Amino acid sequence: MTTPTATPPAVVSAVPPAPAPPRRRPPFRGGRLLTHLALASYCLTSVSAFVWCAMVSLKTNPEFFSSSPWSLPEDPQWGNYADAWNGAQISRFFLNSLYVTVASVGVSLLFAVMAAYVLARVDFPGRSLVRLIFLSGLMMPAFLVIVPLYFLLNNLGLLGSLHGLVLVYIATQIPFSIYLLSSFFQSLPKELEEAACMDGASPTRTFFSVVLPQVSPAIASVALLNTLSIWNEFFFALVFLSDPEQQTIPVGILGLSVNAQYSANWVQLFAGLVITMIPMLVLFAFAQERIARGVSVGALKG
Amino acid sequence: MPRTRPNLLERQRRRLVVPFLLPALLLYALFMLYPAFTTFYVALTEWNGVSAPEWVGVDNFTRLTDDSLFSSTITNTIVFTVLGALVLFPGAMFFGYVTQRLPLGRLYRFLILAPVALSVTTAALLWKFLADPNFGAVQKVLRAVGLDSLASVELLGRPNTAMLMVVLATVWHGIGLWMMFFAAAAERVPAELKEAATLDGASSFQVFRHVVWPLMWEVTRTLLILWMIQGLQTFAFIIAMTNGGPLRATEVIGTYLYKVAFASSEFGYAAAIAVVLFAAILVLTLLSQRLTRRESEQY
Repeated sequence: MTTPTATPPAVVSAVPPAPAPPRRRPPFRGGRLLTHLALASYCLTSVSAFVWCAMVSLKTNPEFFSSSPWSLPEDPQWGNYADAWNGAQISRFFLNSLYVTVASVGVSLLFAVMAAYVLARVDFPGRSLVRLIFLSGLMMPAFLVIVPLYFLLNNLGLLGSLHGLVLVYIATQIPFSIYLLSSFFQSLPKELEEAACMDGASPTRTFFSVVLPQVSPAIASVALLNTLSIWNEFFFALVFLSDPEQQTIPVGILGLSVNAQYSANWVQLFAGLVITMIPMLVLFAFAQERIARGVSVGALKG
Repeated sequence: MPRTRPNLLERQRRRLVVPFLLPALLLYALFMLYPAFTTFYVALTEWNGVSAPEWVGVDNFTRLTDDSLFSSTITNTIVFTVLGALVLFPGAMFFGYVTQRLPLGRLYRFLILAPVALSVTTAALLWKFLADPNFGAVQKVLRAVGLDSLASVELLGRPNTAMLMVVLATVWHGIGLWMMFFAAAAERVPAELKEAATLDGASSFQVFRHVVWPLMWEVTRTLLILWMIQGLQTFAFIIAMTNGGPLRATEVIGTYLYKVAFASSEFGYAAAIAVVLFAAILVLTLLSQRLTRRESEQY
């Protein structure tokens, strides 16, 4: 008697530790191992790109060229970060990006929430037309508006300024925000608003103190998605901002990479790259599920 | 009294319509609608941005049909989109389906999603430098695994490999979100169906192939169109990694339009390219809406 499975059927009942009831699941467990292997090797490759970047950012320029790309920095040069932050103007790009993102996401969200509420709740003549006009913005590529927009900003004296870019960003976020928010408003029960009205609250007051709190999770989702896309916006920023003093991170870092080819100060550039990675990675670590869910809702419905 | 209540609410709310709609509508009209419509006019003119636009009718569009550079950018855009779909869709589908049930699924998901948090230029530059023949790390790895012939290739300097590198960087950056799209789609498949199939002895691949996939195909179709719309507009990775080179091998519609407008100052011609691009996107969008409508009828 070598193994329990080798026992003849007649004596199975006599074997004290009866083998587990035969589950009809596929005996081939290698599939799972292969899956893990595939996932792990992909993730490892992906992470090593980050690691490489971080290690270069801590080397010296001569070391960067002489040492193996995967070697640890001999003596971590934390000064590279200060150098990138101050010398390479990363701090300036950072503040510019921060201003542009906060201002445009905040203002466009306020306007979009108001418009979405009216569009979802109030029956007025021309409502479906207005809704259609807003929704048409969802399929307007940036390329379609770029040429006239460039001259419009130029005529308004806003070309090259962050304020002009903020105005453009507000406008570009409005269609998607209204689209997502109005579906949330439609799913909201009306009783609370009616009760507030009965109590004599003005409609504006009802909106701000009764309606808004109810949709705050939706607002948070939309704000996150917009923050992500504006922080990383590249095309408009590239076309409209030519002065390095006024550039946002995506455009500024590209300029730095061009400069690095002449100055050969690569480690400073890599320190800059690492700095620009951090804020969104942190945001992602905390709000990953929410962002991903919001994006997929938007994509699958659209 | 109870009868007048909804009326009062309704009347009160109507007073909100104008003040609540106006700010959004004004900004949207000024900075999106107005430029969008103006592009159609500009496309019918010759305009260097300094002197007044000169009406030329459809000349810009006939010029486009003769422009060999434009047709090669269309080819490159299609190559980008197709190559991207071939890498992205199987990958995202696999990740999305598999990470749902694995014990370490959430960790994998975070790691796969992480590049999405990088700005497009940061991600593009990272891959540009990883592939750099002078100090890049990719070459070292290729040598280490014995692919010396590939390691000596300047990956971004050769027409055939440059596009592949741009595609890989783009997919690496965005695959996490597409993974989530597929995960969301897979979650829509009723769990009982999968359990029933498993009880009947189906392997997990068979469950996927015969139970999940038929239901997911509808969503996949829509996602494919979404990818095509994005592929048509690909821009940032090209600008940051190759700037359209080498020998214009990675010049796509977006980068060509950008250079025609802001390097050559041919704004009428650039507007014409924008109109063509918009028409293609419009067709794809309408197609996807038709597909989604049919899909919601079925469920």
